[in-house]
Amino acid sequence: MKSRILPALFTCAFALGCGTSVLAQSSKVAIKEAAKADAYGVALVRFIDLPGSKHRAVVDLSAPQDKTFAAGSPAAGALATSDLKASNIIIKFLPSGKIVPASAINNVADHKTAPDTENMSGFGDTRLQIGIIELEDNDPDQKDSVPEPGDDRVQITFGVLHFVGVSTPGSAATTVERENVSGTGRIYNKANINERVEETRQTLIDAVAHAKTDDEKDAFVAFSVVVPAGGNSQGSGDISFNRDLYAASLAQAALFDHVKVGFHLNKASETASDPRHFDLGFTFRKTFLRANMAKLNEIKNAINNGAKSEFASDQIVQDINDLQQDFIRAYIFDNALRLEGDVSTRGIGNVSNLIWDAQLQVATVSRALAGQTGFWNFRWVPVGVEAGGNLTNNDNPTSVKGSLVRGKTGGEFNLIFKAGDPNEPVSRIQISAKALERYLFMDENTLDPVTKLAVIADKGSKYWLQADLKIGTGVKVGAGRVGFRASFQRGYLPPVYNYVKTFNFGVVFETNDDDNSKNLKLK
Amino acid sequence: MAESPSQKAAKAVAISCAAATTFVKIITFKPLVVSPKDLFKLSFSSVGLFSDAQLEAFRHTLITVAPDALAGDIEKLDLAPGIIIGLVVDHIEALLDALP
Repeated sequence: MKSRILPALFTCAFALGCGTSVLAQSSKVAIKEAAKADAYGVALVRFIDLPGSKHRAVVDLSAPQDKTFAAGSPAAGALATSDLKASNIIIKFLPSGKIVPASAINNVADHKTAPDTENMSGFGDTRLQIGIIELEDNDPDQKDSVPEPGDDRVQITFGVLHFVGVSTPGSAATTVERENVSGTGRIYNKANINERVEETRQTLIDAVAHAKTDDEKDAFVAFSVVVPAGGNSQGSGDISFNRDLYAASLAQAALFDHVKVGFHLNKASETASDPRHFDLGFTFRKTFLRANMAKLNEIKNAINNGAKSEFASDQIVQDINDLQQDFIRAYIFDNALRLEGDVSTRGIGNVSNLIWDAQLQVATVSRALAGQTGFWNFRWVPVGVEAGGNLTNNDNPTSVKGSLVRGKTGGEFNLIFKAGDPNEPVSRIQISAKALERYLFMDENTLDPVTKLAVIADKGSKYWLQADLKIGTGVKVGAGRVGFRASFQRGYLPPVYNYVKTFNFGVVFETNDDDNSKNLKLK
Repeated sequence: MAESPSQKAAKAVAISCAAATTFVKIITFKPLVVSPKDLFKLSFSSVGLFSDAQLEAFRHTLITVAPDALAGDIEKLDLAPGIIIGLVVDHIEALLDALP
């Protein structure tokens, strides 16, 4: 097995390395792209034709705007030279060609009905909002700033837009000026705003379908090198899959608010490194938020009704800072019905148990490292109970299929460091440590280390320890970067409690974006 | 002062993130200024929310600070550590736009 896996691994790595050497020059390519018009333009546009504070246009830029030119009102800075002054913006409805009068574009701070015209925070200076004023005084029918019947698109053109240019190492960012920057998008109104709701909902669903948790990504560790204590290199896999099956509306949420379906497989090809663990089942989850509800309600009022003063705004920031001081953010009570199986050459049902699994989880607030270079967090399962019975044991058909009762407690610690520059030799370090202690109150089927059959009855302590170290590097290969992963596992997992002590090492290939939906791992 | 659904959604999501991870900071509330400045272009996992327990804490904070009429929709939101936070902002914004 080893003799076939390792040459294939190096062959793939070599092929990827050669095939992507051109892409390794991506920094040079990025600089050249500065000259392309589409690198500095409008990516997405939408116009919301709804009354009052909803009446606006939203523009997503393909590069960050230079904030020096982002004043949306005199109070926000130099409006005269701003890209967001009304005279610099043409909003045209299509197909009628009707143009929104400049006087309807809001350049007033704290307008009584119209939203602000601004570069919105949090989007990396790439999202603009253009507030539209309903012209009550000189437009009694308020028709000047709304589309004609039949209009379904909007074209927004900026006479001039200033972007932040691509900076090169050792040089300051430059300003890139573009003229007549234009984009076209949909108009949403009362008749079709629910289409926008469905579009954004579907986008989320698609994103979740592609996103993979770290546990799910571990499926690819099947190709990594595993060294059992004193043994030879082999393959292993640790796969988790969880999906929401049902989310209750609040009125139905007395006993649980989510139902999840999932499975977990932890398997290796060598007995000394093989936990032989599989489980499949449903989880009924109830979450209890732990927070100062009075402060959260203050924040809610400020968001939905507007902070009335600078003092009120500062008070909200203080409330949020206070919230962050609490270490525990939520208690989560899980009730699960699960089938446990022994993953072996004799099939998952060789030894199987049906159990009810109740556990309390404590969700804590992630803590930032100094300078926002990373964060750490802790997840704790203070107490859990697993109860049920043995369904099958084909290794020992004459054994009594008795009941089983277990208590458990455990925790997981994660520490992540990220270098500011992803091109640093060590760009990311992730350390994760998990510990789970199960105590078997009744005899359960346990693997005989000599015969490799589940013919021994045992009870008492059965621990599981796992530590993972992932190191991301700035070494580019194609569209991603190379990293390394080392993992240590020791202990016992049900249903056969094979003793495992392994060290696992693998080369990891990760795409550059934070969205891990496109992740690919090499062995 | 009139704030749009875009602004309200950004505030609600940013504050719900900040309540679950100190990696996210609210510098000012009016106007909203957050750190990291590209928060809504990052994934939940890259700001420290990479367990389903933490995402549930985020979800329930969001339910609390958003208008009551949105509670059922937020409860049913699909969330995963790897998704970009801005997708949630866009959906909350659309839900706010659709409110009567």
